[in-house]
Amino acid sequence: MEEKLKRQAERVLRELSEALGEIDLEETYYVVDEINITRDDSKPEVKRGFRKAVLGIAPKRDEEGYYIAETGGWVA
Amino acid sequence: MSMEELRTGAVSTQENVARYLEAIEERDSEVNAFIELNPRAEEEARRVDEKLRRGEAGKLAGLVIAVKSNINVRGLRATCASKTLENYVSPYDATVIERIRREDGVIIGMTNMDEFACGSSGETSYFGATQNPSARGRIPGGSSSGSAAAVAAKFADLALGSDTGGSIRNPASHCGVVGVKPTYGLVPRHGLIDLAMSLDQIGPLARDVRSAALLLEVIAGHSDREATTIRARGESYSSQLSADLSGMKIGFAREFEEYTAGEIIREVKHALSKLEAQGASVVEVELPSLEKALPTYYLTVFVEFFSATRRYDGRRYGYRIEEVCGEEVLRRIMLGRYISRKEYSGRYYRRALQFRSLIKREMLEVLRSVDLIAGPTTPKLPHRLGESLTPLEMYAYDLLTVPANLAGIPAGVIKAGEVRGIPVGLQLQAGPLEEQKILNAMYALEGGE
Repeated sequence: MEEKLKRQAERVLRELSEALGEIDLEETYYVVDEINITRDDSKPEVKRGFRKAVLGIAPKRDEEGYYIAETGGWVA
Repeated sequence: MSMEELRTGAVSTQENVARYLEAIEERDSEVNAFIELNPRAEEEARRVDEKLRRGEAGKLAGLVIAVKSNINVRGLRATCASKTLENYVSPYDATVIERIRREDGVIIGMTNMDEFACGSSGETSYFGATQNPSARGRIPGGSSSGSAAAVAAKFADLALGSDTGGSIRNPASHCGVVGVKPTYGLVPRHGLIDLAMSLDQIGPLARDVRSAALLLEVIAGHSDREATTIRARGESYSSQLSADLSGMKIGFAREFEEYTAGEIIREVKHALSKLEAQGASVVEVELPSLEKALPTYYLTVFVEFFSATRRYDGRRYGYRIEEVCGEEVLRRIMLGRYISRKEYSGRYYRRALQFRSLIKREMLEVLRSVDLIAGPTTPKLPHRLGESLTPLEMYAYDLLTVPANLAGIPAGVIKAGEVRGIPVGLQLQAGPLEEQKILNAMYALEGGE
Protein backbone atom coordinates (compact mmCIF):
# COMPACT_ATOMS: atom_id res chain seq x y z
CA MET A 1 0.00 0.00 0.00
CA GLU A 2 2.67 2.48 1.07
CA GLU A 3 4.72 1.67 -2.06
CA LYS A 4 1.68 2.30 -4.32
CA LEU A 5 0.95 5.60 -2.58
CA LYS A 6 4.60 6.62 -2.88
CA ARG A 7 4.56 5.97 -6.64
CA GLN A 8 1.31 7.95 -7.01
CA ALA A 9 2.72 10.79 -4.88
CA GLU A 10 5.88 10.99 -6.99
CA ARG A 11 3.78 11.21 -10.15
CA VAL A 12 1.52 13.88 -8.67
CA LEU A 13 4.49 15.96 -7.58
CA ARG A 14 6.24 15.62 -10.95
CA GLU A 15 3.17 16.55 -12.98
CA LEU A 16 2.13 19.47 -10.77
CA SER A 17 5.60 21.02 -10.63
CA GLU A 18 6.03 20.62 -14.40
CA ALA A 19 2.66 22.28 -14.96
CA LEU A 20 3.70 25.20 -12.78
CA GLY A 21 6.86 26.18 -14.67
CA GLU A 22 9.15 29.06 -13.65
CA ILE A 23 8.37 32.55 -12.40
CA ASP A 24 10.13 35.42 -10.65
CA LEU A 25 7.73 37.20 -8.28
CA GLU A 26 7.35 37.97 -4.58
CA GLU A 27 5.63 35.20 -2.61
CA THR A 28 2.13 35.60 -1.17
CA TYR A 29 1.90 33.83 2.19
CA TYR A 30 -1.38 35.23 3.47
CA VAL A 31 -3.81 37.29 1.46
CA VAL A 32 -4.48 39.40 4.53
CA ASP A 33 -1.97 42.24 4.47
CA GLU A 34 -2.21 43.22 8.10
CA ILE A 35 -2.13 40.32 10.50
CA ASN A 36 -3.27 41.22 13.99
CA ILE A 37 -0.26 39.78 15.76
CA THR A 38 0.02 42.81 18.02
CA ARG A 39 -3.48 42.56 19.46
CA ASP A 40 -4.16 44.14 22.82
CA ASP A 41 -3.79 41.93 25.85
CA SER A 42 -7.04 41.21 27.58
CA LYS A 43 -7.92 39.40 30.77
CA PRO A 44 -7.28 35.67 30.42
CA GLU A 45 -10.50 33.79 29.97
CA VAL A 46 -10.82 30.53 31.87
CA LYS A 47 -13.78 28.44 30.82
CA ARG A 48 -15.30 26.27 33.50
CA GLY A 49 -14.95 22.60 32.78
CA PHE A 50 -12.43 23.12 29.95
CA ARG A 51 -9.52 21.38 31.71
CA LYS A 52 -11.71 18.45 32.69
CA ALA A 53 -13.08 18.15 29.14
CA VAL A 54 -9.58 18.19 27.65
CA LEU A 55 -8.30 15.56 30.06
CA GLY A 56 -11.41 13.52 29.37
CA ILE A 57 -10.31 12.88 25.78
CA ALA A 58 -6.68 12.04 26.58
CA PRO A 59 -5.80 8.47 25.59
CA LYS A 60 -3.70 7.93 28.77
CA ARG A 61 -3.43 10.06 31.89
CA ASP A 62 -2.56 9.56 35.54
CA GLU A 63 -4.61 10.31 38.65
CA GLU A 64 -3.06 13.75 39.04
CA GLY A 65 -4.15 14.82 35.56
CA TYR A 66 -0.87 14.44 33.67
CA TYR A 67 -0.66 12.88 30.23
CA ILE A 68 1.21 9.61 29.94
CA ALA A 69 3.15 9.37 26.69
CA GLU A 70 5.87 6.97 25.62
CA THR A 71 9.09 8.94 25.17
CA GLY A 72 9.77 9.39 21.49
CA GLY A 73 6.83 7.20 20.53
CA TRP A 74 5.17 10.02 18.63
CA VAL A 75 8.17 11.08 16.57
CA ALA A 76 7.54 10.54 12.87
CA MET B 1 -39.46 24.97 7.07
CA SER B 2 -39.91 28.41 5.58
CA MET B 3 -38.46 31.37 7.40
CA GLU B 4 -41.88 33.01 7.16
CA GLU B 5 -43.48 30.13 9.13
CA LEU B 6 -40.82 30.49 11.80
CA ARG B 7 -41.00 34.28 11.90
CA THR B 8 -44.79 34.32 12.34
CA GLY B 9 -44.67 31.57 14.95
CA ALA B 10 -46.76 29.18 12.81
CA VAL B 11 -44.06 26.61 13.56
CA SER B 12 -42.19 26.57 16.88
CA THR B 13 -38.49 25.83 17.19
CA GLN B 14 -39.30 22.58 18.98
CA GLU B 15 -41.61 21.52 16.12
CA ASN B 16 -38.96 22.48 13.58
CA VAL B 17 -36.30 20.40 15.35
CA ALA B 18 -38.70 17.48 15.79
CA ARG B 19 -39.58 17.46 12.08
CA TYR B 20 -35.94 17.47 11.05
CA LEU B 21 -35.04 14.72 13.53
CA GLU B 22 -37.88 12.63 12.14
CA ALA B 23 -36.68 13.20 8.56
CA ILE B 24 -33.13 12.24 9.56
CA GLU B 25 -34.40 9.13 11.34
CA GLU B 26 -36.39 8.12 8.25
CA ARG B 27 -33.94 8.90 5.47
CA ASP B 28 -30.37 9.50 6.66
CA SER B 29 -29.52 5.80 6.54
CA GLU B 30 -29.63 6.27 2.72
CA VAL B 31 -27.96 9.70 2.56
CA ASN B 32 -25.36 9.37 5.36
CA ALA B 33 -25.19 13.13 5.86
CA PHE B 34 -24.64 13.04 9.62
CA ILE B 35 -21.92 11.51 11.77
CA GLU B 36 -23.48 12.52 15.07
CA LEU B 37 -26.70 14.20 16.22
CA ASN B 38 -26.89 16.69 19.07
CA PRO B 39 -28.66 14.96 21.98
CA ARG B 40 -29.44 18.39 23.47
CA ALA B 41 -31.10 19.83 20.33
CA GLU B 42 -34.67 19.48 21.64
CA GLU B 43 -33.74 21.04 24.98
CA GLU B 44 -31.98 23.92 23.21
CA ALA B 45 -35.07 24.39 21.00
CA ARG B 46 -37.29 24.60 24.08
CA ARG B 47 -35.10 27.38 25.50
CA VAL B 48 -35.25 29.29 22.19
CA ASP B 49 -39.06 29.05 22.17
CA GLU B 50 -39.13 30.52 25.68
CA LYS B 51 -36.98 33.43 24.51
CA LEU B 52 -39.25 33.89 21.49
CA ARG B 53 -42.26 34.13 23.81
CA ARG B 54 -40.44 36.74 25.88
CA GLY B 55 -39.45 38.65 22.73
CA GLU B 56 -35.75 38.23 23.48
CA ALA B 57 -34.71 35.85 20.72
CA GLY B 58 -31.85 36.43 18.28
CA LYS B 59 -31.96 36.56 14.49
CA LEU B 60 -31.41 32.80 13.99
CA ALA B 61 -34.19 31.85 16.41
CA GLY B 62 -36.12 28.86 15.19
CA LEU B 63 -33.54 27.84 12.62
CA VAL B 64 -31.87 24.44 12.70
CA ILE B 65 -28.21 24.27 11.68
CA ALA B 66 -25.97 21.34 10.75
CA VAL B 67 -22.22 21.71 11.29
CA LYS B 68 -19.33 20.18 9.36
CA SER B 69 -17.33 17.79 11.53
CA ASN B 70 -14.16 19.89 11.40
CA ILE B 71 -15.69 22.71 13.46
CA ASN B 72 -15.61 22.48 17.25
CA VAL B 73 -19.01 22.31 18.94
CA ARG B 74 -18.63 21.76 22.67
CA GLY B 75 -19.74 18.29 23.75
CA LEU B 76 -20.02 16.91 20.20
CA ARG B 77 -17.36 15.00 18.28
CA ALA B 78 -15.24 16.91 15.76
CA THR B 79 -13.94 13.80 14.02
CA CYS B 80 -12.99 15.34 10.65
CA ALA B 81 -14.56 12.08 9.42
CA SER B 82 -11.36 10.27 10.42
CA LYS B 83 -10.57 7.40 12.74
CA THR B 84 -7.76 9.66 13.99
CA LEU B 85 -10.28 11.79 15.89
CA GLU B 86 -13.17 9.35 16.27
CA ASN B 87 -13.20 9.92 20.05
CA TYR B 88 -12.38 13.63 20.03
CA VAL B 89 -15.17 15.36 21.94
CA SER B 90 -14.78 19.12 21.48
CA PRO B 91 -13.93 20.85 24.76
CA TYR B 92 -14.95 24.28 23.44
CA ASP B 93 -17.10 26.10 20.88
CA ALA B 94 -15.53 27.60 17.76
CA THR B 95 -16.10 31.36 17.47
CA VAL B 96 -18.68 30.81 14.71
CA ILE B 97 -20.60 28.42 16.98
CA GLU B 98 -20.56 30.95 19.84
CA ARG B 99 -22.01 33.52 17.44
CA ILE B 100 -24.72 31.11 16.22
CA ARG B 101 -25.69 30.27 19.80
CA ARG B 102 -25.77 33.97 20.70
CA GLU B 103 -28.36 34.46 17.93
CA ASP B 104 -30.31 31.37 19.06
CA GLY B 105 -29.63 28.98 16.21
CA VAL B 106 -30.03 25.31 17.20
CA ILE B 107 -27.21 22.91 16.26
CA ILE B 108 -28.75 19.62 15.13
CA GLY B 109 -25.57 17.63 14.57
CA MET B 110 -22.20 17.10 12.96
CA THR B 111 -22.09 16.31 9.26
CA ASN B 112 -20.09 13.87 7.19
CA MET B 113 -17.19 15.09 5.06
CA ASP B 114 -14.11 13.96 3.19
CA GLU B 115 -11.51 12.85 5.73
CA PHE B 116 -9.73 15.97 7.06
CA ALA B 117 -11.37 17.82 4.11
CA CYS B 118 -8.99 15.99 1.75
CA GLY B 119 -11.30 15.28 -1.17
CA SER B 120 -13.80 16.67 -3.62
CA SER B 121 -16.27 13.80 -3.72
CA GLY B 122 -17.46 13.01 -0.18
CA GLU B 123 -16.16 9.45 -0.60
CA THR B 124 -13.08 9.48 1.63
CA SER B 125 -14.90 9.59 4.98
CA TYR B 126 -14.04 6.94 7.59
CA PHE B 127 -17.81 6.88 8.26
CA GLY B 128 -18.70 5.97 4.67
CA ALA B 129 -19.55 7.98 1.56
CA THR B 130 -22.43 10.45 1.43
CA GLN B 131 -25.15 10.06 -1.20
CA ASN B 132 -26.23 13.01 -3.36
CA PRO B 133 -29.92 13.60 -2.47
CA SER B 134 -30.42 15.62 -5.67
CA ALA B 135 -28.82 13.10 -8.06
CA ARG B 136 -29.09 9.59 -6.64
CA GLY B 137 -26.11 7.34 -7.27
CA ARG B 138 -23.79 10.30 -7.81
CA ILE B 139 -21.26 11.88 -5.46
CA PRO B 140 -22.50 14.93 -3.53
CA GLY B 141 -19.14 16.66 -3.97
CA GLY B 142 -16.82 17.61 -1.18
CA SER B 143 -15.37 18.12 1.12
CA SER B 144 -18.48 19.60 2.85
CA SER B 145 -20.47 16.65 1.49
CA GLY B 146 -22.71 16.04 4.51
CA SER B 147 -23.47 19.75 5.00
CA ALA B 148 -24.64 20.18 1.38
CA ALA B 149 -26.52 16.87 1.45
CA ALA B 150 -28.22 17.74 4.76
CA VAL B 151 -29.52 21.00 3.31
CA ALA B 152 -30.56 19.39 0.00
CA ALA B 153 -32.30 16.47 1.77
CA LYS B 154 -34.17 18.88 4.09
CA PHE B 155 -32.49 17.60 7.26
CA ALA B 156 -31.70 21.18 8.42
CA ASP B 157 -32.49 24.77 7.48
CA LEU B 158 -28.84 25.72 7.15
CA ALA B 159 -25.37 24.24 7.40
CA LEU B 160 -21.82 25.35 8.01
CA GLY B 161 -19.09 24.13 5.71
CA SER B 162 -15.46 25.05 5.21
CA ASP B 163 -13.84 25.93 1.90
CA THR B 164 -10.12 25.59 1.20
CA GLY B 165 -10.27 25.11 -2.57
CA GLY B 166 -13.99 24.74 -3.29
CA SER B 167 -15.24 22.55 -0.45
CA ILE B 168 -18.42 24.59 0.04
CA ARG B 169 -19.02 25.52 -3.61
CA ASN B 170 -18.34 22.13 -5.20
CA PRO B 171 -20.96 20.21 -3.13
CA ALA B 172 -23.37 23.17 -3.34
CA SER B 173 -23.16 22.87 -7.12
CA HIS B 174 -23.58 19.08 -7.22
CA CYS B 175 -26.47 19.12 -4.71
CA GLY B 176 -28.23 22.17 -6.15
CA VAL B 177 -28.07 24.39 -3.06
CA VAL B 178 -26.63 27.83 -2.23
CA GLY B 179 -23.09 28.02 -0.86
CA VAL B 180 -20.86 30.98 0.01
CA LYS B 181 -17.11 31.10 0.58
CA PRO B 182 -16.42 34.46 2.26
CA THR B 183 -13.42 36.74 1.77
CA TYR B 184 -10.39 35.27 3.54
CA GLY B 185 -10.32 36.79 7.01
CA LEU B 186 -13.97 37.83 7.17
CA VAL B 187 -15.04 34.82 9.25
CA PRO B 188 -12.89 33.75 12.23
CA ARG B 189 -11.26 30.34 11.83
CA HIS B 190 -10.79 29.85 15.58
CA GLY B 191 -12.15 26.36 16.29
CA LEU B 192 -11.90 25.18 12.68
CA ILE B 193 -9.62 22.17 12.34
CA ASP B 194 -7.47 23.33 9.48
CA LEU B 195 -6.60 21.75 6.16
CA ALA B 196 -4.47 24.67 4.90
CA MET B 197 -4.49 27.68 7.18
CA SER B 198 -3.73 30.30 4.57
CA LEU B 199 -6.71 29.24 2.45
CA ASP B 200 -9.47 27.90 4.77
CA GLN B 201 -12.70 29.83 5.34
CA ILE B 202 -15.95 28.84 7.05
CA GLY B 203 -19.15 29.66 5.18
CA PRO B 204 -22.89 28.94 4.93
CA LEU B 205 -24.91 26.46 2.86
CA ALA B 206 -28.66 26.98 2.48
CA ARG B 207 -31.67 26.27 0.29
CA ASP B 208 -32.20 29.97 -0.45
CA VAL B 209 -30.09 33.09 -0.69
CA ARG B 210 -31.74 35.03 2.13
CA SER B 211 -30.99 32.40 4.76
CA ALA B 212 -27.40 32.00 3.48
CA ALA B 213 -27.01 35.78 3.83
CA LEU B 214 -28.46 35.67 7.34
CA LEU B 215 -26.05 32.97 8.54
CA LEU B 216 -23.12 34.77 6.92
CA GLU B 217 -23.89 38.04 8.72
CA VAL B 218 -24.05 36.19 12.05
CA ILE B 219 -20.67 34.44 11.70
CA ALA B 220 -18.75 37.28 9.99
CA GLY B 221 -16.65 39.89 11.75
CA HIS B 222 -13.34 40.43 13.47
CA SER B 223 -12.24 38.32 16.43
CA ASP B 224 -9.30 38.96 18.76
CA ARG B 225 -8.76 35.21 19.00
CA GLU B 226 -7.67 34.92 15.40
CA ALA B 227 -4.72 36.72 13.89
CA THR B 228 -5.96 36.57 10.31
CA THR B 229 -9.43 38.02 10.73
CA ILE B 230 -9.65 41.40 9.13
CA ARG B 231 -10.96 44.44 10.93
CA ALA B 232 -14.31 44.32 9.21
CA ARG B 233 -17.78 43.86 10.61
CA GLY B 234 -20.25 41.49 9.06
CA GLU B 235 -22.70 43.60 7.07
CA SER B 236 -26.43 43.13 7.32
CA TYR B 237 -26.40 41.16 4.09
CA SER B 238 -29.93 39.77 4.35
CA SER B 239 -31.63 43.14 4.78
CA GLN B 240 -29.68 44.65 1.88
CA LEU B 241 -30.62 42.00 -0.69
CA SER B 242 -31.71 43.48 -4.01
CA ALA B 243 -32.52 41.77 -7.29
CA ASP B 244 -32.08 44.98 -9.25
CA LEU B 245 -28.80 44.45 -11.12
CA SER B 246 -28.93 47.69 -13.12
CA GLY B 247 -25.41 48.84 -13.90
CA MET B 248 -23.79 45.62 -12.74
CA LYS B 249 -21.02 44.38 -15.05
CA ILE B 250 -20.38 40.64 -15.09
CA GLY B 251 -17.30 39.06 -16.67
CA PHE B 252 -17.27 35.60 -18.25
CA ALA B 253 -13.78 34.22 -18.91
CA ARG B 254 -13.23 32.56 -22.29
CA GLU B 255 -10.91 30.03 -20.54
CA PHE B 256 -13.94 28.55 -18.74
CA GLU B 257 -15.15 27.05 -22.04
CA GLU B 258 -11.77 25.47 -22.68
CA TYR B 259 -11.82 23.44 -19.44
CA THR B 260 -15.54 22.77 -18.91
CA ALA B 261 -18.01 20.28 -20.42
CA GLY B 262 -20.22 21.90 -23.06
CA GLU B 263 -23.46 20.82 -21.37
CA ILE B 264 -22.43 22.68 -18.19
CA ILE B 265 -21.46 25.80 -20.13
CA ARG B 266 -24.92 25.82 -21.78
CA GLU B 267 -26.64 25.94 -18.37
CA VAL B 268 -24.25 28.63 -17.11
CA LYS B 269 -24.90 30.82 -20.17
CA HIS B 270 -28.63 30.37 -19.72
CA ALA B 271 -28.28 31.63 -16.13
CA LEU B 272 -26.21 34.59 -17.35
CA SER B 273 -29.00 35.57 -19.74
CA LYS B 274 -31.37 35.65 -16.73
CA LEU B 275 -28.98 38.02 -14.95
CA GLU B 276 -28.92 40.22 -18.08
CA ALA B 277 -32.72 40.33 -17.93
CA GLN B 278 -32.37 41.80 -14.41
CA GLY B 279 -30.23 44.67 -15.68
CA ALA B 280 -26.69 43.26 -15.64
CA SER B 281 -24.37 43.40 -18.64
CA VAL B 282 -22.12 40.45 -19.48
CA VAL B 283 -18.67 40.98 -21.02
CA GLU B 284 -15.84 38.63 -21.93
CA VAL B 285 -12.71 38.68 -19.75
CA GLU B 286 -9.44 36.76 -19.76
CA LEU B 287 -7.83 34.64 -17.05
CA PRO B 288 -4.68 33.35 -18.80
CA SER B 289 -3.15 31.94 -15.58
CA LEU B 290 -6.17 29.76 -14.79
CA GLU B 291 -4.23 26.63 -15.78
CA LYS B 292 -1.59 27.44 -13.12
CA ALA B 293 -4.15 27.61 -10.32
CA LEU B 294 -4.44 23.88 -9.67
CA PRO B 295 -0.70 23.10 -9.27
CA THR B 296 -0.28 26.30 -7.23
CA TYR B 297 -3.10 25.29 -4.94
CA TYR B 298 -2.10 21.66 -4.39
CA LEU B 299 1.59 22.33 -3.82
CA THR B 300 0.54 24.86 -1.15
CA VAL B 301 -2.01 22.54 0.43
CA PHE B 302 0.35 19.54 0.71
CA VAL B 303 2.85 21.56 2.77
CA GLU B 304 0.32 23.35 4.99
CA PHE B 305 -1.66 20.14 5.57
CA PHE B 306 1.49 18.22 6.52
CA SER B 307 2.30 20.95 9.02
CA ALA B 308 -1.27 20.93 10.41
CA THR B 309 -1.23 17.15 10.94
CA ARG B 310 1.85 17.17 13.20
CA ARG B 311 -0.44 17.71 16.19
CA TYR B 312 -2.12 14.31 15.66
CA ASP B 313 0.54 12.40 17.56
CA GLY B 314 -1.88 10.38 19.72
CA ARG B 315 -0.61 11.86 22.99
CA ARG B 316 -3.28 14.36 24.04
CA TYR B 317 -6.21 13.01 22.03
CA GLY B 318 -7.03 10.63 19.19
CA TYR B 319 -4.63 8.31 17.40
CA ARG B 320 -1.37 8.95 15.57
CA ILE B 321 -2.66 9.98 12.14
CA GLU B 322 -0.32 7.93 9.93
CA GLU B 323 -1.37 4.74 11.69
CA VAL B 324 -5.11 5.04 11.05
CA CYS B 325 -5.86 7.51 8.23
CA GLY B 326 -7.13 6.77 4.73
CA GLU B 327 -5.20 6.73 1.45
CA GLU B 328 -5.75 10.33 0.34
CA VAL B 329 -4.76 11.78 3.70
CA LEU B 330 -1.63 9.62 3.83
CA ARG B 331 -0.73 10.57 0.24
CA ARG B 332 -0.94 14.28 1.11
CA ILE B 333 1.11 13.80 4.29
CA MET B 334 3.79 11.98 2.27
CA LEU B 335 3.82 14.73 -0.35
CA GLY B 336 3.95 17.50 2.25
CA ARG B 337 6.79 15.80 4.11
CA TYR B 338 8.76 15.28 0.91
CA ILE B 339 8.29 18.89 -0.23
CA SER B 340 9.20 20.23 3.21
CA ARG B 341 12.45 18.22 3.19
CA LYS B 342 13.35 19.44 -0.30
CA GLU B 343 12.22 23.00 0.26
CA TYR B 344 15.71 24.42 0.83
CA SER B 345 15.84 24.75 -2.95
CA GLY B 346 12.52 26.67 -3.07
CA ARG B 347 11.49 24.27 -5.80
CA TYR B 348 7.89 23.61 -4.84
CA TYR B 349 6.29 25.59 -2.00
CA ARG B 350 8.11 28.86 -2.60
CA ARG B 351 7.39 28.65 -6.31
CA ALA B 352 3.72 27.95 -5.56
CA LEU B 353 3.61 31.06 -3.37
CA GLN B 354 5.09 33.08 -6.22
CA PHE B 355 2.42 31.80 -8.62
CA ARG B 356 -0.15 32.63 -5.96
CA SER B 357 0.93 36.26 -6.27
CA LEU B 358 0.40 36.06 -10.04
CA ILE B 359 -3.08 34.53 -9.75
CA LYS B 360 -4.14 37.00 -7.05
CA ARG B 361 -2.92 39.93 -9.15
CA GLU B 362 -4.74 38.63 -12.24
CA MET B 363 -8.05 38.01 -10.45
CA LEU B 364 -8.00 41.44 -8.76
CA GLU B 365 -7.08 43.13 -12.04
CA VAL B 366 -10.10 41.59 -13.80
CA LEU B 367 -12.32 42.50 -10.84
CA ARG B 368 -11.32 46.14 -11.22
CA SER B 369 -13.05 46.17 -14.63
CA VAL B 370 -16.14 44.09 -13.70
CA ASP B 371 -18.28 43.67 -10.57
CA LEU B 372 -18.39 39.89 -10.73
CA ILE B 373 -16.72 37.01 -12.53
CA ALA B 374 -19.38 34.44 -13.39
CA GLY B 375 -18.77 30.93 -14.63
CA PRO B 376 -19.14 27.23 -13.95
CA THR B 377 -18.28 25.75 -10.54
CA THR B 378 -16.85 22.41 -11.63
CA PRO B 379 -15.51 21.38 -15.04
CA LYS B 380 -17.58 18.18 -15.14
CA LEU B 381 -20.70 16.58 -13.70
CA PRO B 382 -20.38 14.57 -10.47
CA HIS B 383 -19.23 11.01 -11.12
CA ARG B 384 -21.05 7.88 -9.94
CA LEU B 385 -20.37 6.84 -6.35
CA GLY B 386 -17.59 4.27 -6.22
CA GLU B 387 -16.19 5.08 -9.67
CA SER B 388 -12.39 4.89 -9.66
CA LEU B 389 -10.46 8.11 -10.40
CA THR B 390 -6.72 8.79 -10.25
CA PRO B 391 -5.61 11.46 -7.74
CA LEU B 392 -5.02 13.99 -10.53
CA GLU B 393 -8.46 13.32 -12.06
CA MET B 394 -10.00 13.94 -8.63
CA TYR B 395 -7.99 17.14 -8.10
CA ALA B 396 -9.24 18.44 -11.47
CA TYR B 397 -12.70 18.99 -9.94
CA ASP B 398 -11.21 21.99 -8.14
CA LEU B 399 -9.79 23.81 -11.16
CA LEU B 400 -12.46 26.52 -11.26
CA THR B 401 -12.88 27.02 -7.52
CA VAL B 402 -9.28 27.28 -6.27
CA PRO B 403 -8.53 30.74 -7.77
CA ALA B 404 -10.91 32.40 -5.27
CA ASN B 405 -9.05 30.81 -2.34
CA LEU B 406 -5.64 31.70 -3.75
CA ALA B 407 -6.75 35.32 -4.25
CA GLY B 408 -8.67 35.44 -0.94
CA ILE B 409 -11.80 36.76 -2.64
CA PRO B 410 -15.43 35.80 -1.92
CA ALA B 411 -17.37 33.41 -4.15
CA GLY B 412 -20.87 32.00 -4.14
CA VAL B 413 -22.68 29.19 -5.91
CA ILE B 414 -26.33 28.85 -6.83
CA LYS B 415 -28.13 26.33 -9.01
CA ALA B 416 -28.03 27.41 -12.66
CA GLY B 417 -29.97 24.47 -14.07
CA GLU B 418 -29.76 20.73 -14.60
CA VAL B 419 -28.11 18.35 -17.04
CA ARG B 420 -30.00 15.04 -17.27
CA GLY B 421 -31.47 15.73 -13.82
CA ILE B 422 -28.09 16.55 -12.25
CA PRO B 423 -27.78 20.04 -10.72
CA VAL B 424 -25.26 22.46 -12.19
CA GLY B 425 -24.07 25.47 -10.17
CA LEU B 426 -23.24 28.98 -11.34
CA GLN B 427 -20.19 30.39 -9.54
CA LEU B 428 -19.95 34.14 -8.88
CA GLN B 429 -16.71 35.73 -7.65
CA ALA B 430 -16.22 39.32 -6.47
CA GLY B 431 -13.55 41.61 -5.05
CA PRO B 432 -12.55 41.38 -1.36
CA LEU B 433 -15.46 42.10 1.03
CA GLU B 434 -17.94 42.40 -1.85
CA GLU B 435 -20.14 39.51 -0.68
CA GLN B 436 -23.24 41.67 -1.11
CA LYS B 437 -22.76 41.84 -4.90
CA ILE B 438 -22.60 38.04 -5.07
CA LEU B 439 -25.64 37.63 -2.84
CA ASN B 440 -27.63 40.17 -4.88
CA ALA B 441 -26.87 38.43 -8.18
CA MET B 442 -27.80 35.06 -6.69
CA TYR B 443 -30.96 36.60 -5.25
CA ALA B 444 -31.90 37.91 -8.71
CA LEU B 445 -31.31 34.48 -10.23
CA GLU B 446 -33.47 32.93 -7.55
CA GLY B 447 -36.32 35.24 -8.55
CA GLY B 448 -36.17 37.64 -5.61
CA GLU B 449 -37.42 41.20 -5.78
